[in-house]
Amino acid sequence: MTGSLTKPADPVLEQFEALLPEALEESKDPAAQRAAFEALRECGFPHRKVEAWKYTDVSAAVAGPFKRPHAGAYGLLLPEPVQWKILPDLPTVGSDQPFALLSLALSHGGIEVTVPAGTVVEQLVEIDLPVAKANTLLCPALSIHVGAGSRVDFLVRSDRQGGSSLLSWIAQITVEENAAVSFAKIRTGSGANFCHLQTRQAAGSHLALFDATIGGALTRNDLHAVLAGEGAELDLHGLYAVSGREHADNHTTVEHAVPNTRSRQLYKGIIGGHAGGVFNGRIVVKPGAKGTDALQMNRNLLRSRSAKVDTKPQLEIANDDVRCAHGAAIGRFDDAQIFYLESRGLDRAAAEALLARGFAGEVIDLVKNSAVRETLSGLAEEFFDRSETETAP
Amino acid sequence: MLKIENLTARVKEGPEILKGIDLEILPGEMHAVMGPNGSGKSTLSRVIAGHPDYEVTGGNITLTTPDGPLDLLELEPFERARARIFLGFQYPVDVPGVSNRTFLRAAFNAVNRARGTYPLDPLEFDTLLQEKIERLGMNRDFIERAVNVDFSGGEKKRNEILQMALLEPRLALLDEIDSGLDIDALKAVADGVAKLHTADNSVVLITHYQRLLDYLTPDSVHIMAAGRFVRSGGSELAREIEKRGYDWILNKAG
Repeated sequence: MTGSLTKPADPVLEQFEALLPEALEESKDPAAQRAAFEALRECGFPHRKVEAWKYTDVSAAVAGPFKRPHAGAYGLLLPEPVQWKILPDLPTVGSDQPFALLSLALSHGGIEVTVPAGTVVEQLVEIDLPVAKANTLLCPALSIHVGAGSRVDFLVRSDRQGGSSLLSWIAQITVEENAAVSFAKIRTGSGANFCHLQTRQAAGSHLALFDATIGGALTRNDLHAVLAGEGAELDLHGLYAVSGREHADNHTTVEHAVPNTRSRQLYKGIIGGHAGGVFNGRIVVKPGAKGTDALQMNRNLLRSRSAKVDTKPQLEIANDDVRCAHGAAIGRFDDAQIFYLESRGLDRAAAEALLARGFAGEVIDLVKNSAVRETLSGLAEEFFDRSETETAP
Repeated sequence: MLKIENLTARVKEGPEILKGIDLEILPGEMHAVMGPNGSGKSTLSRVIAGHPDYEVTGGNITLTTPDGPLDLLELEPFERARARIFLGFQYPVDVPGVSNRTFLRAAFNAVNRARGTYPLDPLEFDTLLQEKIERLGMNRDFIERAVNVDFSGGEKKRNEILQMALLEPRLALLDEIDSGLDIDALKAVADGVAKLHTADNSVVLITHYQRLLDYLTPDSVHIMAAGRFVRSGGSELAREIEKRGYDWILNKAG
């Protein structure tokens, strides 16, 4: 192995390398997976001196040891005429994306879900990722393709994950011309969860994407959304709610590649206990992408003195004639609201709980699909119930 | 019902605003506290409710309850609410993301749990809420909306009255419940207060203008200036103020 000659031995990398032979044995494209591992060796696991990982320490998440069981089953609820098959080709990812590279190298394969052109799917399409038992490594992949002019709602859940597990997954969504898609991804469960999500929208399409992280030891969501056709619109909403010593990190890149596209982004974070939250939102306007209309907002509620959040917006605009705005807010409970609720008989803890629920409710209410909205509300409710006992500083 | 003795209070770390208030309110009475801006009348209602911006520097506030007298100054704001003191806000506060129904039910259950009543489930609560809404002749639609968010001035004040109807206070302090209302909204709010006022409870109206008193007739009117009651009398006092302005009394008192 040439790589080990040029770099000092890395015990973390070595334990994953030990899992490589069996991954390659199951593989349909061992060369691509081997190449991904070499790319991972080259880029290395991130440490906090790497800008993109400055606020997120992955060392505990990758410490292992991990077992790598055979791939489990996806939970699929696919109404007619939605189809699925085994993912034929592994996706490609950038050479600077260590967890996506890991996911490729040790891939458990994946599924591809297709909605034919010109169809309206009334019923919600539901996809559950396979079970990741405690102390295991799972690397699933999901590719969604929605044909031109179709309408469909997706709910993807990553919820069956045990303690000290590592789940690193890659998802891709392609939305063809004039299609209207809503896609909600909800991460609950334990362990560490790394998601690399890429979306690509053709002209006149609309994508409403909701990215929810509710609990979990460590979560990192890397989203790269490309508005690739004129008139494409993206509504991007996120909620991250963590407590205890949990940590949630959202990195979004919204790329306006052609003229006259629109994006609306609102992420809300609720951070309690000793937990940490990160939001890093990049808006990229490519040369020639005139008439871009991009809005980004990140709001955070800190529920305790020890909770921490880091938020950073980035605009990269390569031409004029665009409308881009962003903002970020980090707040604690509002005294006027607290007194109003106390004057109605709620004690301090109950008042804070109601305000935190309202803070989450504001973004959850933006979900149009009622089944998804109710699922999210229920999960948020469970989160608040279990995190309420630890609001002390 | 309520007895205030030589109450002095200030904004925390700030100047004294209440400079010795004495007031006794009996069950079934309605009092009006009137005064020019800055006289301390809103402060008085907030201090009774336990607003954290103020610090009581002297005196007593005692609430009479069937379980005996309560020293209000020993109680947290939520405990005062559970002792069934209600403060109707001059500027009701927005609570985004929380539906009015959720808020009202949380408040109702918090206050009634303290009374030993079993909390109502959403369905039982809805029946009760419907009854109160009909009694006050209110529109049902804003029950689904977030608390006070994008409510008109009139809707906010009527929402305060709805809360009063649900929480059934023994003492309601209504701080400028008439401000910012057109004549129809003013009538509706006054009508609501009149319906909720019984022989067993007491109401204190804090107001700058006499016009609310065209619809509600208090048993006592207190004129406040510079942190003191400078004159107390019957409802005819309010009409004097309407005719002759506050200067008349302030000059006389000075």
